[in-house]
Amino acid sequence: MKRPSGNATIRPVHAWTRVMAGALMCGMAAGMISRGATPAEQFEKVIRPILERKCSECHGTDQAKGGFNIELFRDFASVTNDLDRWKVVFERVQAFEMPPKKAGELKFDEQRKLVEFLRGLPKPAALNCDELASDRTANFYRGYVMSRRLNRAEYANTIRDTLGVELDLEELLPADGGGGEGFDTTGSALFLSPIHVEKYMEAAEKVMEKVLPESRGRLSARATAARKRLGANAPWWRNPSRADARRFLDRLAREAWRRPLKEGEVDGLLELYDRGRRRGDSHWSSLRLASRGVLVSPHFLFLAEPEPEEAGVRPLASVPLASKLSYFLWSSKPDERLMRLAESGSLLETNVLRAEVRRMLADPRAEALGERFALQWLDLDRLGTESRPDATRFPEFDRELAASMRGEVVRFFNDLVRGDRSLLELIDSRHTFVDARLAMHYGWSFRSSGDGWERVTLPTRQRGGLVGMAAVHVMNSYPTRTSPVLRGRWVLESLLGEKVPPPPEGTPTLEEKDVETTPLSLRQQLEKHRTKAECAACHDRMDPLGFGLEPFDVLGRWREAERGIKIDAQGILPSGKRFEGPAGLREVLMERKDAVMKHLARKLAGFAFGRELNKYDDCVIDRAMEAMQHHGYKPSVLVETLVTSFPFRHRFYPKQEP
Amino acid sequence: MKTRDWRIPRRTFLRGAGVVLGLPLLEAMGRLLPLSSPSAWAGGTTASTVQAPVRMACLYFPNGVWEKTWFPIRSGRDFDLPFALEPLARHQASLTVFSGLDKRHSHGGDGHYAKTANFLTGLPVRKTAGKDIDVGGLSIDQLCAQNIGRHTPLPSLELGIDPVISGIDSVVGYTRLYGCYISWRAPGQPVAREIHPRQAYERLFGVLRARNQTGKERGRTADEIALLDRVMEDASRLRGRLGRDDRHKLDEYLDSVRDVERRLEFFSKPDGRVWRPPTSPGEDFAIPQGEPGDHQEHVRLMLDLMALAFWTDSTRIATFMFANDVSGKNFGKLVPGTSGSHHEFSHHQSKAEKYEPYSKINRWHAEQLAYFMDKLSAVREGERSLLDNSMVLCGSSMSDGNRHDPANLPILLGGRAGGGIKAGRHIASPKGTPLCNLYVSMLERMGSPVERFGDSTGAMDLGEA
Repeated sequence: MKRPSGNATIRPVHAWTRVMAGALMCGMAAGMISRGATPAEQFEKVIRPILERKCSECHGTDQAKGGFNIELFRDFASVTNDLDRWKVVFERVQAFEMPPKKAGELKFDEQRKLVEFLRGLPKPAALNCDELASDRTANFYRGYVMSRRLNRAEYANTIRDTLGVELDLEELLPADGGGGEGFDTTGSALFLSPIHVEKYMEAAEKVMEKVLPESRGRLSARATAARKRLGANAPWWRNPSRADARRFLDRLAREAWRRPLKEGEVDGLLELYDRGRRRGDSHWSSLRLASRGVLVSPHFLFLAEPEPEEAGVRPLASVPLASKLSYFLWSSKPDERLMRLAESGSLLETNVLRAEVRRMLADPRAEALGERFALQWLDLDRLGTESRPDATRFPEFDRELAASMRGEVVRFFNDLVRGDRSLLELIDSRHTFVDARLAMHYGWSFRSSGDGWERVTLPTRQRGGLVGMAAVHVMNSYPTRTSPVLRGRWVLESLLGEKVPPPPEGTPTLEEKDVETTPLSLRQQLEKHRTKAECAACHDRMDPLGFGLEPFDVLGRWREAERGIKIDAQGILPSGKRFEGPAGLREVLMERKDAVMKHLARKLAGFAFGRELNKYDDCVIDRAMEAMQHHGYKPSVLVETLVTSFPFRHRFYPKQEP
Repeated sequence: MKTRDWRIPRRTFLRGAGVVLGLPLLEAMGRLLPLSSPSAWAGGTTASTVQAPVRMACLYFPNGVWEKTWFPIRSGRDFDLPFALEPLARHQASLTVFSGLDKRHSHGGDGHYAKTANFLTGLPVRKTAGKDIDVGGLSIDQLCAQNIGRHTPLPSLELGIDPVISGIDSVVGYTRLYGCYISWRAPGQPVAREIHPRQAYERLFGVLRARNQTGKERGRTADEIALLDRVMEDASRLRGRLGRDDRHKLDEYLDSVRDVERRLEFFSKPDGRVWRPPTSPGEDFAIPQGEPGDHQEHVRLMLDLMALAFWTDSTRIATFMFANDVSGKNFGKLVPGTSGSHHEFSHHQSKAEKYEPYSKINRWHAEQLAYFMDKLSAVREGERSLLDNSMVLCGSSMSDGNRHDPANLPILLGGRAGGGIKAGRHIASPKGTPLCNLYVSMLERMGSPVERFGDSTGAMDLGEA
């Protein structure tokens, strides 16, 4: 392996600022290419020579790997004529993917110059809002998986809404991973293993025993309701017959499969029923077997979007559209009304779709958005499991407290959606939600209401908005101490939607005397650290934001001092602007509210579309921003824009393989 | 706290405290070990002279090691056990320590994901936020399972501790999913792992297994198979109507259903295995209940289950992840002086207050390996112990966590592969020797030989016992 010595060479991405000791290693240097030179001159004098030295071997006329030939880009104009391609070059060089190691690494300085130059290129021209990534439009289209299995939460919700049986998720199925924009609604990241099939069989058995027991005495109220709806009960004066079984299976399959049945589909299920009956099993036992056939079927487990006759970008049919909508807003199946609109086709009309969005957002099932979307967006779903405070230092932190902390975020978010109030309250609010445990944790008195949660008007300006919630503080602390770097990075990435580049390996690190001492010395360390240009590039952006949250301890409790030293919550932004504490931070965020809202819109789109966003989605995001700005940042406006958008209602269907 | 209720049973699990709680298990065991040879129950002696099968477990721990207290100074038979490996002293004769091993394709990519996802594949990991996951090839355990898995009720067993985590690591642009899996049945298809002891137990000995023998149960197995046939028909039809990019999702489903069906059939037919475990786990078991609250108890419970799976020949192949990669687990309660985040310590910057806890955490992992080896060595299989008949790979996907260095990987191998390994050595390979060379040698001993695996350049000489 070629590994030149003496020169500082770029090694592969050194990841995880998050976890680095105080993240004291540095980001990329902030240096620029000689000022004053035009991009054309820069390209000619600086960039071309680097490309020729390091890239031409594989990307010259001889080979042109990946269809990329640098010989075709002799001047700056030729670059600006093919911006899409250069955007890809930028991404791959920035990620240290190119040039590959064996082809010879870029020197640190070369890498930096190249990235700075590429970053400065104009954005590819604005696109038509009515397009999708496809084989035709995207150079590197690798395909998106659009038919996916239900994730764990969706599976349980769908069972609940079909059969009235609540399942214990943790016990039920293995956890799902995420992909795309970071959500477990991403088809390409939802896998299926034999263990899933075993669990599906087992779960279906348990569920059907609850709904169709041998004797009716053991039925729960909800299961009784479901039975009634599905027509399981024959009149009392006669024994249930095969016709009753057929009727039940017909209804169950339509509901569970979320579509009208095709000719003969029930017959397949009835064969299972007959199988039991022939052997002399009871009606109920045989019906349970057949019903399991419904619940283990891919028609139930998969949100499939079958291909139409004609390949290309086509509108989604109304029935799959109904499921796409209900799994977005409810993480569950369409209800009867939505099914009817889908079956009649009227759901394809924009105003009907819009009205359905309003109706569904007002439904309690929309609470899934807080649990499924908000927690994943904010990276708080792992709170209390994956990372947690040191148990010796913070014995008061336990599973229940973690659940209450997550609950605050979920309830706050759902309350905004239900009331259709401005999403800007996520940045700043005069209220929050607490249960008894969290109220005690925050040091507030508490009157309990119905479900144990209470909307409270904040007594001071210490808290308010997401940045005042303990879940955020805990999740972005180390086990034994707070971290302005982690918290700052969270604000930057999760709220403002900015990316912090990883620090390249080999960058000088700050001599860290003792991070464990006091917050004051930590601040001094970080400040000293930022005097180095290479570190400053990123830490100037992250650290000050995090200092604004220093008044919250590891568990998110307010503190005035730490080990006798008064907390200094002042942050100075790269612009020179000073702010103080969480209240000041909220003002800073409010000034950049459109960045926060845009990031939220992107995340929600990623959740809804079940994939990574691409440039064709930018237009939708821009439209959503415009609509929100005109309508007081209402959740319904954002959701409507996404649901009625071209990418939500269309799909690219590649040509069928024979 | 509801973590209490499982603890008492836990004590009796695999430990012979004499409390009989696991009736369903015993029932299952009884069927698992048909009384074809009465002397099989005598324990210790086998009627059969058939050689016991070789078992393979691959244990992964995250965040690398502090090399100075991990790698022995002396190589060969007379190797020393540095601080982190001291807990393995009682198994030194059954242990092989490796140094100098490398994973070529992990020198690119990010610090963690590009190293862990291919821990057992040895091939490049595609950088992706999730759209086109690719680890280059299938993992050594799954390759093995494809070749020899049909001989046992479960082709392979995948266990872990942490749930799979979602989301993208936005710093590096990789899906976090890569840090959660080491078993891959195809380059783009990880194998789900079980993290709940009770569920893992049931997968081994539970519902499906209980269905055989009596007429009624045989009927039920046939029902299950009819059910699976029914849904496979659905899947084939549905697959035909899906496009290029979606079809492989249905293929996963079809593969998995076939897998379960094969397993059901396995139990409904006479067992074709010539070799039978000569001893039975006996009556000293309890089914794990509830959820473990303590990391060490959780880990040991999973290791117990693996030992049990090997003992009963329920599977011969297992993988286990101590934690997801980049784990920030706090070992403060288990190991004095390690309060803080595991991953943070791994970025030790050569400072004693970081690398000391780091090294202690490494040592803790070695302790758990020793525990697992205890369990295996306690089971007699004729002349040898179950440990003698096993290969327990245990290691991490990088050496020094501070540098994220994939060269000189920390790799241990416990056991003798039924006499196929001259254990009790430190094999110091030349720098840059592919880890996959070891995999080639392991696959050969598993009866699943390959000419090449991952980036292998040959086979590792493990000697003969």
